[in-house]
Amino acid sequence: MAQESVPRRLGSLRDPSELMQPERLGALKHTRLSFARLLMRRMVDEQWEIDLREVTLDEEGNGRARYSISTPSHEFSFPIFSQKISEAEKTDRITADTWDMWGFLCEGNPSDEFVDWQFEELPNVRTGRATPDVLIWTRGNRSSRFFDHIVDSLTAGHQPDVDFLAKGGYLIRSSGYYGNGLNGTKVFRSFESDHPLGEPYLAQMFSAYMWRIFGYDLADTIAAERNSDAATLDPAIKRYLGTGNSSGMGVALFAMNHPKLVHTWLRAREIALARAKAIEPSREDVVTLQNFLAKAEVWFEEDDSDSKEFFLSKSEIASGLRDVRNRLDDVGSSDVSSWAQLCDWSERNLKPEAREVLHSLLIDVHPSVCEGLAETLTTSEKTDIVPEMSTATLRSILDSNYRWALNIDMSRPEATHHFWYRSENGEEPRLGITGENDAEEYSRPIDIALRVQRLEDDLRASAPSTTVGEFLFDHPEHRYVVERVQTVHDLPYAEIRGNPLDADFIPLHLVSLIKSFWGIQKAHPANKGWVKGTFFQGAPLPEDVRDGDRSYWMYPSRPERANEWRDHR
Amino acid sequence: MEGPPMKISTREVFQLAERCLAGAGLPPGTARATARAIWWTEVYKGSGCTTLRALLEEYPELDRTKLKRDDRTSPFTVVVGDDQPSLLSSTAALDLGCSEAKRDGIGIVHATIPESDGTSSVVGHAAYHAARRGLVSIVTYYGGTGESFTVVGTPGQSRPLLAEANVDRPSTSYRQITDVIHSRSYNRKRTSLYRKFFDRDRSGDHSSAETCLIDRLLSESVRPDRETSEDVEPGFVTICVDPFHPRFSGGIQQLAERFVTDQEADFATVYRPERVRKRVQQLSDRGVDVERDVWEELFERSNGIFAPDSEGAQRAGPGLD
Repeated sequence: MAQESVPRRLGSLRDPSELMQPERLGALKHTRLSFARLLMRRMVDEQWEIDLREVTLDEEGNGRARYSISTPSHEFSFPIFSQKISEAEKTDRITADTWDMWGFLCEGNPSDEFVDWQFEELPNVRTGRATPDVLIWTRGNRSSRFFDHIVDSLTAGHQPDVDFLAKGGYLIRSSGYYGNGLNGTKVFRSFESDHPLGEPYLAQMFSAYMWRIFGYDLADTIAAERNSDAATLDPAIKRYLGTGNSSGMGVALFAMNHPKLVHTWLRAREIALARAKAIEPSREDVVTLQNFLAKAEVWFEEDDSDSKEFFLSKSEIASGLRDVRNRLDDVGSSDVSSWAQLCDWSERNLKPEAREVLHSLLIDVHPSVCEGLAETLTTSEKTDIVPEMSTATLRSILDSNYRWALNIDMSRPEATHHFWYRSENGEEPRLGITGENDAEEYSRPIDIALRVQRLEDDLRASAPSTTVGEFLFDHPEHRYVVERVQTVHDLPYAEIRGNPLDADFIPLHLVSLIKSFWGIQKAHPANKGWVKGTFFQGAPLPEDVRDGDRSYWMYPSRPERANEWRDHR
Repeated sequence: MEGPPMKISTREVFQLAERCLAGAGLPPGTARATARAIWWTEVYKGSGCTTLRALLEEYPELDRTKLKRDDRTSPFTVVVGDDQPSLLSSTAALDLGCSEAKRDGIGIVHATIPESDGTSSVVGHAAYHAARRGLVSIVTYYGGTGESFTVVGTPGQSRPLLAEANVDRPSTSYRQITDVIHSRSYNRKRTSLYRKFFDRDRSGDHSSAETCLIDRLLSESVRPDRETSEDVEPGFVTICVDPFHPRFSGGIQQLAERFVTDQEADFATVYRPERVRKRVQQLSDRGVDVERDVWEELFERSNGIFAPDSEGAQRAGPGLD
């Protein structure tokens, strides 16, 4: 990897009219600016200490554990309540009322009484209470297949079948992270300037990392409880596995409801990519990219999960990456005049998902293109209307910046087939069918294109010199969309240019977008609104973090299969 | 362990307010804008949640469409609040006042309120938000048999400077402006205003009549009217002044700041930006105190935006195949 600084030339950023299409956004992959990766770099750079301080678990895994975390400036604790529940009770939905485990990340070293109190509150998804000392509440379930296989193997005194584990890639699957003021937790704005988790989603990602580590300690402890001669999980397998994650419609809603965040995070990524594209690579850079491509190719090739119709199959991504390697071989490393040239070629020859892997790898080849960008990922979400703006000006903004919304034919019945709402049960987001479901009165205001069109209709009927303040007095129903338009109209990557009400709209594309910001590595769609995946596969273990191991951990190689499994298919 | 005293996060205050107000019938954008007023009340008065609970007990349903604009029958904009609380009309008056100020230099909006308006503590948010938008602002409130007060706001570097005076009776400014409104001097708003505010000797050293007018508006907003208030209609006046409008020769913002400083004794509370910044930081760091029963009631009301669970809804969940 080229660690030296590269000239900061900037190619042009990608056109939002293409990039902001939902399907296109769904193709984006994690990058060096994704939160899980930012966190991991900080942990390694600062050599955080993660210690299992207390563990009292029986042979079923019922009991408690507690980790302490030391960073140069802060101390944290991660207490966990663990139990074994039946498979039937594991729903992975936010409507669940029990889980295999729950835990919380908090500042300092809480008293036993405080921990007891939090363990009682945590199962109450909506009404439970934390305090501002608590950064994150989280709950998780053991993976049905893989966890038991690992425990059984270790109890039998040998390592699990890594080929089998590769089908999932995790032991524990989290079902949500609640922070930033939810349930009374610490609000993000209250994080001190030197707080090690003071960037967006770092506290959530760190909790995800802690589930990964607890999964290993839980499996080792249960096996030891069952057999004093049990094996412990091989560190190579631990490194290869990550934390499971299950995300659904709520994440898609988040994408639509946070246009300033989406713009901020996309813009940083696009700047990094534009800088990378502008680089004239050295021979060494080309070789580094070829090595990264080879690792990624194997990674995708080995993933035989079903991408369904929503994503490109993993083998097609692998094939695309192979095409890039072949291309580099064909033209010769000295003939690659700029990465932009290679990206232009990929535009013509690769599917979007494979192209996005290439883009992510180019940024990895030149980490310095991310300089200064991590600091831009925090933004204020404050909005307000501009009441003195004339309705003529507002119309002109719609005409120039919301043409995509005005051009959608909303008169087609399919265009308003769905509405989005939340259920009282756990605030679970759901899709209803217009005209058929009585929940329609609870629909959420995510129909930006339809709202823009209705706004335009009423603006047309108002005198051009009317101010927005006057217009909204008579049309308060437009205030939501007017405030949004006036706030984000000049942010090119803020608005997702699709119609979420359409019968053909795939929420999964937006889930995938947000998860690329978080740093998800694998995505296994269950249906068009629900996806499982993994974080931190290949990431350093606590001992590697303590040692400051800065190795490139993306697209990890599968460890050798243990002797016990060599003859198994 | 029994948990510590009930606190909710700053985010929860805003979220609860927005959900409760939407559940009570406000359209989403209006619910959000009104929730900002509740948050302001929590920061400045420490009573956002209790005010919201009292409001929703009295008004389980809010109807924004009941607010009407009646500027066809008066020289200034008049918002007829019908039976809706000042919480609702103050947000509308704020937007109208700001847009007029940016266009004409001064925006004056009178809003009527019901006799039993229970949300007066919220009204000062309009002065705050106008100042956030870069305007000098005066909100002078007369609650009929209830309280009367004036809030003055001036734009600041990070936060506005706000000052609140209790007036006991309608302020002179309130009286003068409502008199002008009732005089029905169509299209002569400025002339009428000048006549009302300059029927006594001028005082002070002002470079222009416009500056002098603002000075009068400020000083007479914290002075109780001497006449009987029996004939004065309850309501509030929102005055917004754009200090950078070409009609002013400059110095309007300094005039307002000096007014607050010089008359500090006349104000019950002066909210200095640094003090408010610390208060906001403290609320963020430690959470917002709230009685459990208040929170439980608001939480229950906030559920009004969620669909009751049903078999059909369950099928429409993540199982989208």
